[in-house]
Amino acid sequence: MVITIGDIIMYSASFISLYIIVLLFLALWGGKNNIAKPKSPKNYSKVCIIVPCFNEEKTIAKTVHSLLNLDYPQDKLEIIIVDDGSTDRTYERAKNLLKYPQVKLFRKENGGKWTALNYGLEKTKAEFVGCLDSDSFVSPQALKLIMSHFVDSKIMVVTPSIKVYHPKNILERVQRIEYLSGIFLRKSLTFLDSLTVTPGPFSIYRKKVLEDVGFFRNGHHTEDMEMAMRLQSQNYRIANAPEAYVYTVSPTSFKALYLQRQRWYGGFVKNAWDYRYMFMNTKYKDLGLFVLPMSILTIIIFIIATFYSLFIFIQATINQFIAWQAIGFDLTQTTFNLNWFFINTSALLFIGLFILIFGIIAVSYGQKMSNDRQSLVKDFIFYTFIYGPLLLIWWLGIIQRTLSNKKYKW
Amino acid sequence: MPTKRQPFHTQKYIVAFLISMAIFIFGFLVSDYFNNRRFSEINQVKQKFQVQVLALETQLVSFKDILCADINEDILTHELHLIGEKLQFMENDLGKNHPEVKHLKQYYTLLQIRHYQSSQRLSERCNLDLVHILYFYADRRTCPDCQKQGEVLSYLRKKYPLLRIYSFDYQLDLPALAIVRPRNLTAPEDDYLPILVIENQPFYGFKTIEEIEKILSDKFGAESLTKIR
Repeated sequence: MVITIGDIIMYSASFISLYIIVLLFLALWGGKNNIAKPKSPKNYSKVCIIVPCFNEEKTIAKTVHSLLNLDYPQDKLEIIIVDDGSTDRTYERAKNLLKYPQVKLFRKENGGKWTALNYGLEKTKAEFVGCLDSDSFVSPQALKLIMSHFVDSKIMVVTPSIKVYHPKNILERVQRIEYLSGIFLRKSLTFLDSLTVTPGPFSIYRKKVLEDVGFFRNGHHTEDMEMAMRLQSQNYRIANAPEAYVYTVSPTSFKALYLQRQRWYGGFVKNAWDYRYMFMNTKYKDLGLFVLPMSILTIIIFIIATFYSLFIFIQATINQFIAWQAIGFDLTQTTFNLNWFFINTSALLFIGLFILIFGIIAVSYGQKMSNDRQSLVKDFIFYTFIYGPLLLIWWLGIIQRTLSNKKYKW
Repeated sequence: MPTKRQPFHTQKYIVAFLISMAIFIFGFLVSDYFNNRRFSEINQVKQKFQVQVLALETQLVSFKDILCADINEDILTHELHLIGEKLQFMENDLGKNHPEVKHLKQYYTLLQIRHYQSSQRLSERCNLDLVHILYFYADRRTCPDCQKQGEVLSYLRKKYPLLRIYSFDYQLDLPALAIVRPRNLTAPEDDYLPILVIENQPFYGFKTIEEIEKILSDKFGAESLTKIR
């Protein structure tokens, strides 16, 4: 049998995908068995949630109300809204929320989310601080569940699960599956001490750790990734509470989603470059020796494999089109053979089936953890067919932007 | 305060590797099982077909006045075509250089030649109005138009059931192919391919449906197309 470059690409890509997903399952399984369940604290500490907002007049009230509805002692909760120079009616809407004693409102010149967060950090004396993007809403139990992890004094940050708020169109449904698989991914990576993002929506920090490592930085427009990398680089422990979930309003249009991913993935690449000394560094154990190098390798392999698959698909489609053109598209004489003989039974197909099954289990885990009861079937089908090409478009955009040195937009 | 990291999970990486390898091997074994079943299915059809061709040849040689009505040439043609389709699938899946595929292809080519010769004789003896086309193709690199030509011929084969089309890989290493292959080609083969041989006359390069129908009508008369329909 002749082995082509195409075979090498596809089999390498499937082996690496399979290996990573098996490892993540082992990490989750081993971690769950070895780590004791978090206990509720005897006394709840004071927590300050900073809500940075820029032109969020539509969602700011709902975001703050979700915080006011938290099942947490209200005298221990402080909400600081920082209007980052909005040009719409965000400030006026936020002013209406000052009737609640927990809420404080500040206004500053626009400087980016990280500056608004730092502004809020300067204004609080709470022992724990967190952030909630003004397009996100928390579930009532989220804070209590997160705080129970801080009983362990070694834990410096706890991240929640993030769910898409009311997914309606195809893009939102694809993101729903992506976020659910993210819940699995984040939990597995926690057991490898390898979380590289402390997501904007509702990651809670001990304020002391922020004072030690320094407040937020621009971090190439991804201050949450930069902060996580900084904490990891100094060996601070980040935990994850998958059952504490936060809803986020996801981009609904292709363009908005594209721009968001340009910022996220571009930020990942640039932050990875800034912290490149962690790669293959034995000091950082699983994170340095496996997770970081593998995340870059996966991206490279993914781009090559998807490019190759698309190339083959487009080439076959064009050839078939030309062939059908030769018969004037008269397909009445064409018969499609349904005999089992003509069904693809390549090894790649069976390996792909295993990856798909693992993927379904991972998404179901995310669904169970985040108490999501909607059916997954339709969204999973959309995800299977749409996510790969979307990811390719996003990454090609990153490469193009990096080569042309373009700045990322919000 | 910074904490000591968990030790590197060496055992997990090894177990993950072993599980992944096991799944990979399983994938290849299952695929191999299905391929073996396919080969055995082709071999069964091949053997059945071989018997039928031999029977037809024996009838043609032995009897002066054969009973034309008793001979199911069309069933034989259909079975030959079925073997061809299956072989084509295996070739696409495993590559033309796979030893079993190569062997089957040589065998299939020989069967086609024998069927072609018998069918020609039968057509004469029984006045069957069969029209025979030999089609020489090559891989996409050598013959970019061959997929198009194949589609055109499949279309015509279904449109005209009395059309007998035999496809030969021009590059196949099989001396017997010389019996049917056009001779005296001097330029590189990709200048000629695809080649159609209609009643012993070669036609070079891609031919459309209309062109082939015109050739047939010129050669056998305008009414021939209605007859073979």
